[in-house]
Amino acid sequence: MTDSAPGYDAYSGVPSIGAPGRAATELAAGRPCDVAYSADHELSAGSFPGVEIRAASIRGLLHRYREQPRQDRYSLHHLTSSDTLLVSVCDGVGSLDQSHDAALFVARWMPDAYAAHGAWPKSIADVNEWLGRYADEVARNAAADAEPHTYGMATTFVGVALELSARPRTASIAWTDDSTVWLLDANGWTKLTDEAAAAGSGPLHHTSVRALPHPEPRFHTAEVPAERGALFVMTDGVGVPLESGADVREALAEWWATPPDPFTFGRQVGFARRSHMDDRTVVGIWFDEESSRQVR
Amino acid sequence: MTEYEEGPEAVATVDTVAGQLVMPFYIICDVSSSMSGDMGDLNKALNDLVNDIMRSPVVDDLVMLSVITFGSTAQTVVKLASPSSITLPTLTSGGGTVYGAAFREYDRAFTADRARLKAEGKKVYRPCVFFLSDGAPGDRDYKQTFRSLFAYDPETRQGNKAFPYVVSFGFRDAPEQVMKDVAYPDFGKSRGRWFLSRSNRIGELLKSMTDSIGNTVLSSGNSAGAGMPQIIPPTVPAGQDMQFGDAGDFVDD
Repeated sequence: MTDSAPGYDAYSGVPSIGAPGRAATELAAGRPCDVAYSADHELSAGSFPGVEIRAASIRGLLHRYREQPRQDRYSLHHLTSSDTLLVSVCDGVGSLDQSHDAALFVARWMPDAYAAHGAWPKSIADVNEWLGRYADEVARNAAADAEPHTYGMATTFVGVALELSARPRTASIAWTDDSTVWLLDANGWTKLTDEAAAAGSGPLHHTSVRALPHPEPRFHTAEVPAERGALFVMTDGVGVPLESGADVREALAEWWATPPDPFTFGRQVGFARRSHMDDRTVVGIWFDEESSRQVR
Repeated sequence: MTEYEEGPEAVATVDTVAGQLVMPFYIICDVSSSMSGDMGDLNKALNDLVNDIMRSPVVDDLVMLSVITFGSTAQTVVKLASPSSITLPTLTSGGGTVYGAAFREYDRAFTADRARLKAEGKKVYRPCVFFLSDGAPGDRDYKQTFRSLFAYDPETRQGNKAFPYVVSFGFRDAPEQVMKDVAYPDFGKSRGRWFLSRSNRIGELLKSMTDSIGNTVLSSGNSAGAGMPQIIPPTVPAGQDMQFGDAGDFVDD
């Protein structure tokens, strides 16, 4: 479906891909959530020679329905000393009420940790430790009779570090759980992060994550070429429908063949699709192959 | 393709999408002859239940319901579908109380439903079964039937990995031990739950039981949209002098 196709912009300002579902078409905006500083949606744009960036984090329908804050967070940061673009994307674990805070914490502090270490493993280890201390402090300050889920917090993490002036240019990827990184180029979509443990492998669908903070954080790293097409760093709110729906892959490939304006990008990230009501966060990094060649 | 999938009441897929998350709920109702005086109340309670669930567009997008009735035999009277797309027939009573027929029909229906949904690219979560009965099973081997179809050993990983979460609701002459036996799973954190009431106010009782089912469907459906789906066990229906408990160890006769 394209911007001009029937259904585009028909539902609460966002396009639909496939059946939008009743929630997308009937749910009212509702009362603002209790976390006053948490905006429903967040947008960013950036550019470097030969590189365009768009970022959007969209509050999911279920959080709107339950009057809960968006639990996805992202950050974009440029380390001038190494000319490195850092992208952090976090997905708070829904079963713990303070997970929006964990996601915000990791997105906020991961660039500092990476600036100190210049590599993901020690950066993730540091932030995991800091988050653990912070979560413990929140727990200590909770009411004595509070249920653990009301003060608990956890988040997944996926990050990309891109040395912009390096040639050949590669992206260093790290991820803890089910958030993913995808390449979109002339060959279509390629998932650059391994399958999350056990998801979809059994007779029934499961979700299993080992989120931060964790005594033994599980994370993976990979180095991938970053000179053509575009990289998309995303939470499972987009990753799951992208992986499971050919029509989603087709629509997003068409929409994101080139970088849209940031407001259009935000609406596209929030596309309506039945039963997919989680928060949605995507950071897109487009590479201009012509300028990459000229620099080289 | 089986008759079930080809039948005129087969689920329409027009409003569904690949990758759709589905939490399946099956309501198994005893309609044996001992229920003959209660069918009006049962039909009304089921209609109210579906209408309550339909009021939430979020839950309606995430859950699917099916209704199976049993007496001497069992049949799927509402095939698994979104609450807003199903039409409840008027249930009638008759026959004995053969639990095994109900278990076998559920197993057949879920196996077909799961295959169909997966073929459509949907992601199917663990099913939840609500089992309502007013009497003792007429089939002495009901427990063996239950175990052969559903039992799973988490240590050896043998058995039915797609076992359902079963909540039993018993009333009138339903034996307590039987309700306990039917609740499943009997291991892990989320154990099946059983409820039993000897109240004579059957209409009110059925209403409170289906309200409890509705709350479970709504709460569980709410948990699915954020990617952390879990079956939220029903709480004790109010005002019905209800006995209840979690599933214990499976007793092998």
